[in-house]
Amino acid sequence: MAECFRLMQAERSRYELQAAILFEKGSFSRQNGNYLLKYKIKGDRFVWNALPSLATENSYSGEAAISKSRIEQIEQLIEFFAKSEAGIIS
Amino acid sequence: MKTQKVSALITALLLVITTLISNRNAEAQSSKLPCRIEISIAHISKDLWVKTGKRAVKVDAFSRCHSPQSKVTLTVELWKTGEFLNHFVYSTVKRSIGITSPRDQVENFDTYVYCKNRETTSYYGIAYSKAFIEGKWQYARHVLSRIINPIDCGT
Repeated sequence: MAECFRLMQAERSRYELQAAILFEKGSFSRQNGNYLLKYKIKGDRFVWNALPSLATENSYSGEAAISKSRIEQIEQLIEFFAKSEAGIIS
Repeated sequence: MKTQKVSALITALLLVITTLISNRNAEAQSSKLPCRIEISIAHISKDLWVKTGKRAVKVDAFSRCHSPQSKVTLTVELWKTGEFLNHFVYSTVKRSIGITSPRDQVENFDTYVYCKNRETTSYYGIAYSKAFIEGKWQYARHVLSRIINPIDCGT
């Protein structure tokens, strides 16, 4: 969780760019170490899936209710992206 | 007056007997269940507060089975109460590939959301799981946090 907080600060500008892509396309994915991270907007929720390249590794996913205002949504996505990356590390 | 007292006494006695029987049934049923899930009360994470100075509301859950389990999927949801409806906040799913022995537990301690402000809000968690045990899929029913506590944490 401390890693999530660190990422929220250190990777903020990258996450803002990712948020713009997600709003524009509705989904996107990126490789993060041994995991493929997939993000999408599904109804009223942001969804992430972390899929391992090795069949022996655990997989993870998360969902968050989308906030009302765009400013809140961007802040929420910054936390969301950080969680998805930090969750794999912990 | 005397009839009323007797009636009240009989009602109380029936209530006690019913409670005892239902408790015994619940115990018997829980001992038969292959897996047990426990979920914490929603709380402010002390660990995060100490490490970062940031407040976050969190629920933790784990699953433990009597037999070796594999392909465990443990889902944890964080909800907040509303005036008319309760609202979903965040959920995480951990899919554990390997075999977990009966002594060990599958944990999901990653369900948390940072507080935006100090607005008092009541949160609770829900956890459920599925696992492959003794050749078949077993589903553990939804378990709710024991207590719904108001927390000074708006999300």
